[in-house]
Amino acid sequence: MKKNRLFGYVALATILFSACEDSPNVPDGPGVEDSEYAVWVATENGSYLLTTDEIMKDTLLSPQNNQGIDITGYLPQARYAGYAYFFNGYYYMSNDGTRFSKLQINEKGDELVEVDNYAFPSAFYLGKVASQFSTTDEIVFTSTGASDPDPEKKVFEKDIYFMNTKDMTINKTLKAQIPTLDYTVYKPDGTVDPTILNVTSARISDGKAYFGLFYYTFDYKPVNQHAYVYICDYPSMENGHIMSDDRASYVAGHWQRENYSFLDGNNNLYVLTRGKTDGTYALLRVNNGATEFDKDYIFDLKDYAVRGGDLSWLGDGKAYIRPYVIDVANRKIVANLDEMTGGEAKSSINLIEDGNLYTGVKTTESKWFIYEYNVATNTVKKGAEIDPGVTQVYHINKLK
Amino acid sequence: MLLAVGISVGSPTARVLPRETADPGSNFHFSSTPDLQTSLSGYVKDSFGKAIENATVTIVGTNIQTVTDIDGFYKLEIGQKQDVSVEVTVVGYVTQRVLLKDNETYKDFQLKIDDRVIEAISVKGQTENQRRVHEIKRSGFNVSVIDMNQYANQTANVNQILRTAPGVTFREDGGLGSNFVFRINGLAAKIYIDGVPMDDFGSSMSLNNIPVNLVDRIEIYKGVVPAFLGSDALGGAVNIITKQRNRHFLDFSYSYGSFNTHQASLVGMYTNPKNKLSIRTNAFYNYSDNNYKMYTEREYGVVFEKVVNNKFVPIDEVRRFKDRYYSAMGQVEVGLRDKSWADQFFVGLTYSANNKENQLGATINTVYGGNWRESTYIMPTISYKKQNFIVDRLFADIYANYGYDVSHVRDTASFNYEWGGAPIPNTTGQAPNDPVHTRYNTNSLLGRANFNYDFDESRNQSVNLNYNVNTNNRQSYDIILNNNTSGLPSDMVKHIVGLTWQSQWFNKRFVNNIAVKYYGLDTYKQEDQRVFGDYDELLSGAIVSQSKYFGYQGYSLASRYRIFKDGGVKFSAERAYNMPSMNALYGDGQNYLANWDIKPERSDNVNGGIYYNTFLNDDHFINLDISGFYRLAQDYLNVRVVTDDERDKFQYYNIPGVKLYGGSFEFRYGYKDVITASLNGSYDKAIDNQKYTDDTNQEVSISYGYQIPNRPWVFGNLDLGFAQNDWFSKGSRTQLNWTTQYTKWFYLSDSHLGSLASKDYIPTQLVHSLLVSYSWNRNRYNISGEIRNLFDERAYDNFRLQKPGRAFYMKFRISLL
Repeated sequence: MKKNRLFGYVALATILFSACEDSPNVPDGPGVEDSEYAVWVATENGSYLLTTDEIMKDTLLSPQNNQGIDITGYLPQARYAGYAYFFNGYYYMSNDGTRFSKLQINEKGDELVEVDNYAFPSAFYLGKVASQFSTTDEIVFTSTGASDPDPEKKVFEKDIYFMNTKDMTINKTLKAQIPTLDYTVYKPDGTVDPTILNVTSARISDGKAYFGLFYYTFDYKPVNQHAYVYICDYPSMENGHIMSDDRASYVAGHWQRENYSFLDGNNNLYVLTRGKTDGTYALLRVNNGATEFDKDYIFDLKDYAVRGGDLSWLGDGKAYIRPYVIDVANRKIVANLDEMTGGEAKSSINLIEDGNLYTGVKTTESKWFIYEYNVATNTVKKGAEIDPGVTQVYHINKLK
Repeated sequence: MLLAVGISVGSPTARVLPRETADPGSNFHFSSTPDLQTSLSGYVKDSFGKAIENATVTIVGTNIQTVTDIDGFYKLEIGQKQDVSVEVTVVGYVTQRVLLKDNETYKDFQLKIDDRVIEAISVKGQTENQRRVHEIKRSGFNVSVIDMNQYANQTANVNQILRTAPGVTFREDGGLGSNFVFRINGLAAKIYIDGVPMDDFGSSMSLNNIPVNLVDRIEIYKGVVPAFLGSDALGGAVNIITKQRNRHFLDFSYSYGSFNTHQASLVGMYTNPKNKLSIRTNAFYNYSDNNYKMYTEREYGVVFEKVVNNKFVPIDEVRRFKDRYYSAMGQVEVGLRDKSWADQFFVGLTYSANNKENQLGATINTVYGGNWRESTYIMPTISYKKQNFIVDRLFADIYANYGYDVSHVRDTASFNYEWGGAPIPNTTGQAPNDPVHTRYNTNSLLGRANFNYDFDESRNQSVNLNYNVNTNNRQSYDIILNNNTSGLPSDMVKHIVGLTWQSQWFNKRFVNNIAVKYYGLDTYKQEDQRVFGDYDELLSGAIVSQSKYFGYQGYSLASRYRIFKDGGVKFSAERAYNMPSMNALYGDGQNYLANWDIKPERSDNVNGGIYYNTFLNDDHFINLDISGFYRLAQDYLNVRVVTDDERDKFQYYNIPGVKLYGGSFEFRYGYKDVITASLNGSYDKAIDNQKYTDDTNQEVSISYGYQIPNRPWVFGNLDLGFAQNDWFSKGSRTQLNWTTQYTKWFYLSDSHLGSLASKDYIPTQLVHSLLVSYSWNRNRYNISGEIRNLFDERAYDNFRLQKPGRAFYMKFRISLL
């Protein structure tokens, strides 16, 4: 009896003591060391990196049972995955409007840790990345913002940053002087509406810089139904002018990192625009070395349910405009990944590796899978399953 | 068993002072007058120092008598004093009679509990306040009543007291005047001031700026809320009862403390004994720099940094800056009492001004260097109360107000700030941040009518009808863009009708409240989606109007059964709705983002509890309350952090289904008026109960069956008090109070997702505070010193948002009766 009572006291004391612990008890693991891939997913309440060595294996990737890496603390909102850029084993994230962080999964594979950072003086979110101009030690990118228009110079100023990724310092900043439209928008009260500019796509190629432009009003409506792209010399940023085209509507896309343009194998620029009909899209081309839209080229996508997102050049004359693979030159749909997978291709940042496109697909049974699309064979293959409880699969990244 | 309160003892004499005619005008002077009129005053309290209201104080052998007020205070004019004997009687206490000494002009009484009394069977002669407290205690509602007079010497605001109650969580993001989220048993609770929804007081009154001195008591309802509050609360409600007296009264306090914190409050009342004209006034002033230190705690995910060469470099500690807060409020009510046509009729005017710098939004990620909100608010009110309104035993309580709030939200900082207190150097020539200046004009109207009819004098059967209507109209103007079209309205009209039947059975052993309610919410907004061309021609779009109406029926049952003299059980069940607030629907223009899609929250809940109160040897008091609850909430209202316009903000959203269960206990002990102790603990679990996330029941929620993250679920409080009377001077009281608040750690995100090493959490907190106070001249003067967070514990209610550390306060208070 006394013994039982003694045990009771000890148990009570243990409970009371544990109640006073100021933090959860964290055992080792179950991080996956030195993983090959990471899949960035979101749930209703958080964001997670699911690491694995094999994305095409018949396995389940899930943050449940305390697997994967919780990165919620870095992200006030999961959709900010759209501002993140993965490059050479590091994540570059700009999720709080000030801090531009370089992050890496730790050796144990159970945490994402900041390696270095850069402090921007005013609101900064990662915009477009000129990946073909990035080197091992330098990434070239824009921010989501632009200056207010200068009423005298009649220009918006758009920065292009060259960041040394070794020590996260800015090597240089180029400023594109993007003209305001020769077009005045009035508000209902008769005052001039200070139109605002989004750069929805940015590319640098063969001595030219291109910026897809979305001019909008105070209530985020396009000022007109024309496509505009600013082109200037690079890197001098001089001799710039706006190319416009009224065969299509305003340039599609948002300001964040996702691509709404791509360069083909000949460095011709393709820009996704809105179509002339509501809710539709079109593809316009600017040939390498040209300073105007190619009047002979438009791929009207009005008959296709394009969802935009991460436009990618796949090689072999093909490009990916979610959910379609298109034969760019011949203006043909080659594949519809929705139909081929029986689901909906949803990832915003896809992985392209060895002639394959890897993307996250949500099936009609509300399951998530990674699918591999092979450009050469025009076939798809089902890979790893992702926990059906996730709400979005944002990135598929190759860590090594 | 004693039968009634207020029965006088003794034979008639030539001089009779009816209790309401004791001249309050001389209450501030305790002395004999030249014509040898002598006054006698004092307090009547129980063995534990608690004021006894409505006790009859009689000069034996005369008809000179009066009754004590809510403070237990009485005053008599007794003419020439020779061998005067005074008797005090009140139901539930042993009558006491003393012979006064010749020079005595003050006499305090301490009455012992009369064990023979189970419960007063008549409510005749009770004050409205007394009746209300009495009804609350014997009802089936799970209610705690906090007597705020015992905290009058603390520098605290109402929130600091409220958060110590069992089942209550109060999460704030900083110091004085900071943003907060308040919940009872895990559900969003409504807050009332004297029965009027706090939302209706605009920016003038909030839990975090009302000084304790303005408040008499706080009623905390858990689970079912009485219909008379006209509430759309579910989970609970708080009713803050401000100080109101029928006599002259003045209470002024001023405190100064850490972080350059100044707080002053004034409560005053005057009633003309002849024409019954009354004037009541409340006022307060709060100021704090809120510049407390915050510390890097890597294990909690908190790292403060300064910027060196455009790089964030960790530093051990920072001091908050640009977080100043001040608020001032003045309220005057003028009216008449005790007229044939009204027990009370008052008109009033409230004016307030607030200015709050906003250093942080919803997180510490971005530091604002030039963001603030300033507002002014004016509110005329009218109130009417009458017992025996039109017919006998019909009580009417009618109230209306109009509020007009003008708020300016501004941000003038061109560049981001860092924790060193300076803007981040703009070495790259980056474009500056856009300035923000938005004005919000909000008009509100509140009408409330409450009618209570008692079928008999003992109130065994009563019905109560309550109707509340509340309208809000807000218009916003972008001052920077001079954009008049942004002044399109956002409207909300809320109707709540409640009908309650209260019955008492088996000699009041069994008390029932059955209520039905109707909730109506009408919302409306306009958005300008027009685009105009060069010549003002409309290119596209229109002014789009959107409206929604929600209408629901709710019902509730609350019962209490007294098993034996000192104890019983309580049970309540209800289906209730919580309508979204203006800020939840339309945002506050600063830290809360609008969510037009938000839906009312519904909860089906059952609550049960047992209580036990007893006295040992008249000197010891023991009280134990244990309660539990189980709730199924639909469209659970929760708050999350989102980003809008590149800033972190809070936003209300619905979680489709949540199961909540838990319980709390509170143990209280008292020894005479020397020792008080209370210990409470709460367990409050909220489980995601919505299995599917789509309409076709295919998508299984990854959180189904798991705890809702980022909310405290185990917490408790300890309060110890020691007092000594008559140290240094007769009529003085020295008091020492120790409080400890405990909150167990909880995860920021779902506990089962992601490696434990990568999971962020809000750590366990154990915050101790110490208060020493000394009052003299029979509580007329008080001085106190307080150390909050004595051991400088790192305290966080929200992830990374550290609250103030150790802080010192001094307070002086004068209370004139």
